[in-house]
Amino acid sequence: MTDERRTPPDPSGRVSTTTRAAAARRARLDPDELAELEEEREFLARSLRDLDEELAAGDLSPEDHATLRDDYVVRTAAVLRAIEDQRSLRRRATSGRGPGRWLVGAAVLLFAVGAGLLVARLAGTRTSVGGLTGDIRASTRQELAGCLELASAAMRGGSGAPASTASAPLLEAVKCYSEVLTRSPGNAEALTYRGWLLVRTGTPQLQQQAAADLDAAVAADPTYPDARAFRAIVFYRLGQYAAARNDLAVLDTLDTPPIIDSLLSQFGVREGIAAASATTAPAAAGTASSTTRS
Amino acid sequence: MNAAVGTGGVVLAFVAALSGMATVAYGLVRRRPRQSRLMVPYAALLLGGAVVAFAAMERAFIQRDYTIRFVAENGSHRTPLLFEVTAVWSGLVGSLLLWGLVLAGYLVMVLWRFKDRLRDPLLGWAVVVLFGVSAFFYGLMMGPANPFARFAPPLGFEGDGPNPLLQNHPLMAFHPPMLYLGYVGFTVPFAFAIGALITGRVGEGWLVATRRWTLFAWGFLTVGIVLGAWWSYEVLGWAGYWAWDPVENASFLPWLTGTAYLHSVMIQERRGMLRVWNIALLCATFALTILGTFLTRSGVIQSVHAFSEGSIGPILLGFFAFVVLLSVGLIGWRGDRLRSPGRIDSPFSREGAFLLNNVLFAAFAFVVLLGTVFPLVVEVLRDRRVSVGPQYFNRMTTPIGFVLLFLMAIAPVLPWRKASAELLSQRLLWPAWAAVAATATAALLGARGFEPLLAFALGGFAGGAALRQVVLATRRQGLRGLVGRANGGMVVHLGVVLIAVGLAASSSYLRDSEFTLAKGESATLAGHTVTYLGVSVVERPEKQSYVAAVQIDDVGVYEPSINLFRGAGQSVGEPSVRTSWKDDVYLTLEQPLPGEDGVAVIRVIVQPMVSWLWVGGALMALGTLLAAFPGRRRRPVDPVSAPIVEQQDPDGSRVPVEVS
Repeated sequence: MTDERRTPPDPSGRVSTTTRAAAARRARLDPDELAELEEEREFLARSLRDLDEELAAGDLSPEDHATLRDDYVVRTAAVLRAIEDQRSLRRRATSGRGPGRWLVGAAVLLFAVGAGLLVARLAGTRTSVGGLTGDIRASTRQELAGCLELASAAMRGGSGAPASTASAPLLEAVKCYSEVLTRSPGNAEALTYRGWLLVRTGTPQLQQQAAADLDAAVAADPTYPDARAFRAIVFYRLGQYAAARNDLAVLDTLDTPPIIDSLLSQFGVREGIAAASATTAPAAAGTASSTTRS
Repeated sequence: MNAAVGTGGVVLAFVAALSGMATVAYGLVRRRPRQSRLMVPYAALLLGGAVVAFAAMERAFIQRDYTIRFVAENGSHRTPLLFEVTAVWSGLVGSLLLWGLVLAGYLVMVLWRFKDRLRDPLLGWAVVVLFGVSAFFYGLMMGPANPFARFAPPLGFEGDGPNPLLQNHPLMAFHPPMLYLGYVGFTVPFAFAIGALITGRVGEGWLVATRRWTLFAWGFLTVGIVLGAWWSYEVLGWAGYWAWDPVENASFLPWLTGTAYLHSVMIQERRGMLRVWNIALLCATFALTILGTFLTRSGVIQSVHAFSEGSIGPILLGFFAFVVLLSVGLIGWRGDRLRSPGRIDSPFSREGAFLLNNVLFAAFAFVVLLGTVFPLVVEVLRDRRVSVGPQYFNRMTTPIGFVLLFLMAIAPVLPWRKASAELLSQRLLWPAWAAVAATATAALLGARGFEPLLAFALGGFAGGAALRQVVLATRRQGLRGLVGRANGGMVVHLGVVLIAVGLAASSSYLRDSEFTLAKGESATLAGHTVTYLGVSVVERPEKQSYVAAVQIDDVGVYEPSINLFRGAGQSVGEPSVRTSWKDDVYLTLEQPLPGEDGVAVIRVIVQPMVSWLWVGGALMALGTLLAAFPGRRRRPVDPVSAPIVEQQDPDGSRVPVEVS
């Protein structure tokens, strides 16, 4: 097709003969032309059959049949030649594809493999509330609700499981709270539960971070019962009874959910502190992180 | 009564579609044109049945006729009339009724439009396909997705009403019908493509005949997608408009391939090239609408859009596979004839740019398709539940989007066949200055970051190129310069530029924070001060609403609320948005509800230039309309390669007169 060149029109608006020739050539390559020729071929073949049937039925004299048949045969032959011309013209025009198609194929393959690898790498576990794809920008509260669901499931599954198995879902929930904290760094609930989950992993290297989170949570919202309760448990387990008692004292002034009381009972915090108070001198109250660091 | 009439309508439509398909196909195979003419009465019967069935369902909803299971599950005495009317398409079987009605309407319009060509075999086969698709959908309604299945309501039954999210905003009245008009509209060019393949008339005739049908289907789909984004923004309370949700992706996929087709078809019309590609794109577009139907209606995904009832998933998947196999088979059969003799002379030509544009749109569609079906494939093969987050989609599609924006600037100024460096520099001068101006303005206004600044620059570049074309066309032809494919297309481009800039700005400079505020207390975010004034409780038959009054700056009082829907027992937040051309202040009232102490948790999100998205969508719709009307065009009887009379451009270059 490179021989087709559109030439500027002459002032009268007429187009050059070169362009006309190119247009005529294109018209001969038009598949609709070929389809029309094939249609005509079918029509002529059918007409020939009809002629023979009419002759057999006696509706047509042999002379008329011969005349008409000759005419149809000539027309059919012309159409067949035109079809063959068109096909060979098309074959010539469309032959000679270069190696470019292999390059294109390789590029497509490369892109598909790249996209496949990326989607496999970026795909994550689907939660019970998550969709197949995409995500809406949840509010902090919605995110916290999702994290709490993960945390509850992790802590339920953690009981009795080996430490290495149990810590994986806990760390998943920790990651969820960390994401909340990237957007809302001072969120008391996220700090509290991230700290508590880190405590529950039992991993010594994470305890300092856990204590820092609980301190930050209490600092962010001193009236948040969960933070006070979790920190009291941490103090109690570290033997810092006075500090634990301080948090419990504040906790008693708050509207504490029953589940927090159950948790404190489960760890025997109040009973333990009471027993320890009877035998040990009170220690100075401090923060969980400074105690952990010491 | 409603059930009996509706069932009668469905049966009539199914029988008419099946008989129409069989009769017309038989007439075509046996070459009996008289039988082909029966397509008109069969189409009339199909439309009659579809109208009766749809009207019966609407009547049942308005009358709260709970003897129909679908009405019992989605209707309620408490639901306002508007949402009772729209409830028809808020569930699986009702949406199929709408699908059937729209398709029957399209079929009748096709016959009316081509009434002089009823004996044309190409039209005949296209009608067979349209009847066949209708028969498939009404067959579904005759079997596993019966809209008029009966129900025996217990005494005092009131119904829960539609999903609360689907009765919270009037956009529900427009968004789904627009999507359906787009989705179903693509059946028409697909049917003609199949007709062309069967008859072997794969030249440009059928393309020209279906150009407007494709354009309108694309336009409706565009409007449907934009309205869906708007609905999401106004209703879901997350201040977002696009989440790469699988249902959004399902509507976006045919849009991408349809957009590619609208560009590449011009190469075929002009140069007789890309025949296989164009037919494949059309078939893919239709197949993707069926895949989208499968995704939204089979229950394979969890989304507010997904209707998880019914067992039609495997049937839809089978139909999708049939469409793909039929298309591939026919294209393979006609492969020799579809091969084009032409070559692209130079990559620096309009056809070169369109080709690259098509490659990018195809890559875009592949990325979205892969991300959407990947979790399904993994679950089937490895029994693992995975999710593909927005990170994958954003990382893959952002660079493609940038290159597309760049091409939007280049392609309109490129001539066909080849361009000289001199011509390009001359024509790109304006757009380049527009890019510089856009970037400098954004930087002066405080915009930072590589990606948003690049988006503004490319937006300016593409917008400048589109504006240049529009200005030159109107200088040449007056207001007629706005009409026609090329000029209307430029208006569409302007809409796309606004959307691209709006997307970049709103996602890059979003500020989001939650404030716990006592009555009379204020908070400040991104230069906007919000003051909580109090809360009131509003009782309505269908819901109880906690409405907070929040003053934004000195502009006015806005009222985000939480609605407790009585039927579903579900609470749904309703945001309130202060919109301006510069930024939106988006307020939501968060749980817990304001107590006696009057303290409320209010989420405030400030996003710049969100309104540009909606204006861009409107411009795209307007541009589509303008493009549908003929500009100055080549005589329809001329062959594709017939010369176009060129005329002098005001900037001194020669441009071909627009060809639609």
